[in-house]
Amino acid sequence: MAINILEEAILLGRHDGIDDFTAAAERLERAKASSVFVVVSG
Amino acid sequence: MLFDFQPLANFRLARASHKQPNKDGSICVNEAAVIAAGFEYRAVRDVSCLPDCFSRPVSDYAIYLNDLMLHKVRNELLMPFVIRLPGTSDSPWIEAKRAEFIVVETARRIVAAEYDEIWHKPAVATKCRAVRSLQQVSSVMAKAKAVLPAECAREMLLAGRRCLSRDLRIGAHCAAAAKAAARSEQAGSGRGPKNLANGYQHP
Repeated sequence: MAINILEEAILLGRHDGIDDFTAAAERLERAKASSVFVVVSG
Repeated sequence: MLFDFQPLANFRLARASHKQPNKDGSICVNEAAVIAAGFEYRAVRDVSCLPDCFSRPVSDYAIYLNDLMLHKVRNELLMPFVIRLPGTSDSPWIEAKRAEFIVVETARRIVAAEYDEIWHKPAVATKCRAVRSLQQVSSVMAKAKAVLPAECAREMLLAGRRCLSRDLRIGAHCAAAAKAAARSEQAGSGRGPKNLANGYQHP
């Protein structure tokens, strides 16, 4: 129910979201990779 | 939703804000949405930390659902919102309408279900389901509390008052109401949270 309410609240107004899903996934993977770099070099 | 979320299968959403994602991901849904939208990573302690293109009441609700949700369902239920939250900011009128919607519908669906299915108070549940406005949320939640002081009604009374005072940060109270309903269901049935805040789950 709570998730449905969240989704319906989004639909009440502008909801452009992210068109390029692949690019979004790549950005998240890069963020993970950079955090590993911080750990290794730190 | 039509997207294939397989590329995000190894990315884990976690409770609370984080200075940076670790190798498993482990950041909250809004932090992941910030990265996914192409913004520089930032710890999101509250909605003031978000870029302007994020709807404040929607993101506030998402922050607290993320934090209060059971770990085993967080990824499954909230991951789609990583790409849904950016680009949701709208006019002040629409944002106020969204906040009111979240408060009213939490009372109508989640609080009503708890009073009906857990506490067996169908008359109270009927009144909750009939709520259509913030004013009605306040009066019905106060009456529900008087009949049986459930935590979900107390939280929604606070959410209603906050929204009536034009404070759109209703997420904490609405998510807490959903969590309280899930806890009640878990305690009442011994089956574990399933439908109410699992309210967190799809019907």
